[in-house]
Amino acid sequence: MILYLVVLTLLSLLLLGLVRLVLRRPGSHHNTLILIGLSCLYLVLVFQLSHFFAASLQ
Amino acid sequence: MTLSLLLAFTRQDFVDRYSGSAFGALWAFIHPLVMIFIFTVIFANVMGARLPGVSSVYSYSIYLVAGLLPWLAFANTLTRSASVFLDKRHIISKVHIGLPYLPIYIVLSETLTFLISLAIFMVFLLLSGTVPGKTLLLVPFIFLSQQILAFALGLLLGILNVFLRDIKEMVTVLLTFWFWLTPIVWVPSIAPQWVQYLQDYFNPAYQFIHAYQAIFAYGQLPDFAGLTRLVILAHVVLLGAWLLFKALEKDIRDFI
Repeated sequence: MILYLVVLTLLSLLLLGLVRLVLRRPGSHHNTLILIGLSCLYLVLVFQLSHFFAASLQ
Repeated sequence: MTLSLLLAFTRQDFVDRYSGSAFGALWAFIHPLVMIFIFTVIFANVMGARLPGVSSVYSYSIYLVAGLLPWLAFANTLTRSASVFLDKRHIISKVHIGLPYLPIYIVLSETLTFLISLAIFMVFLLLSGTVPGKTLLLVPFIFLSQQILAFALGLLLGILNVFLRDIKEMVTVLLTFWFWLTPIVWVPSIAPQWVQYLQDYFNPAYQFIHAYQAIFAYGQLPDFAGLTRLVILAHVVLLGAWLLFKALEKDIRDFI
C-alpha cells in the first residue's frame, strides 16, 4: 500500500514537472496536444498501476 | 485567462446559484442531504430493496446514490457546457478570453458541488457502517476521467450549439435517455447478456458509474480495463473537440 502511494506520488510529480516544462515552451497549439497526451498517459498509468498493485496484493 | 480569473468565475458561478436565497450556500448541502435521506427512507425502509449478494440494509440506497452523484456532476457539466458560449456572449463579445476556459469553470463548479455531496454521502456511509476501504483512493482518478469526458463532450456540443441552437435541447433529451440506459437505478445483472456487452463497450458512462458502485456498494475494485477504455475515449473526444475548436474559433467569435 505504501509502495503504491509512493509510486503514485512520484508519477504525479513527474507529470507536474512535464506539464511545467511543456508550458514554458512557446507555441500553445502543440502544447495543448502534448498536454492532452500527457493527461491520457497519466490516467492510463494510474489505472494500470492500481490494477497491478491490487493483483499483487491478492 | 489566468488561474485566478478561472477561480473567480467558479466562485461567482457558485454565488450566483444561491444569490438572493435566505439559506445561501447552505442549499448546496441541503439538496444532497435530502436526496440521500429520501432514498434511504423509501428504498431501504419502506420498499425494503436490497442489492443481490450484499447483506447491508442500505445496500440499494448506497448503490443508487453512488451512481447518482457522479451522474449529476457529469450531466450538469455537459448540459451547462453545451450553452456556455451563448450564455457568456456578453463577456466574449467585450473581452478577448480563451473560449475553452469557459467550460472549465463549469467543470470546477460542478466538482465543488460533487465534493460537498460526496462529503455528506461519506457521513451517511460512516453512520451506516459501510465505509469502503483503500479503494476510495481511486475515486479522484475516476472523477477526473469522467469530468475530462464531460468537458470534452461539453466543448464539442458548446461549439455546435453556437451554430445550431437546438443542440442544447437535444442534449437535455439525450441525457434523459442516457440516464435510463445506464445502470444507475437498475442493476446490470437483470439485463440480458448482450445488453451488458453493449454497456461494457459502448456506454462510457457505465464505466465510471460501475466503478463508483463497485467501490461504494460492493466494496470491490473497479474494472480497470473498462476505466482504461474510458480514459482513452475521453482523450480522443477531447482531441477531436480541440481540433474542431481550432478550426472554427474565428467563426464562433463572429457568430457570437
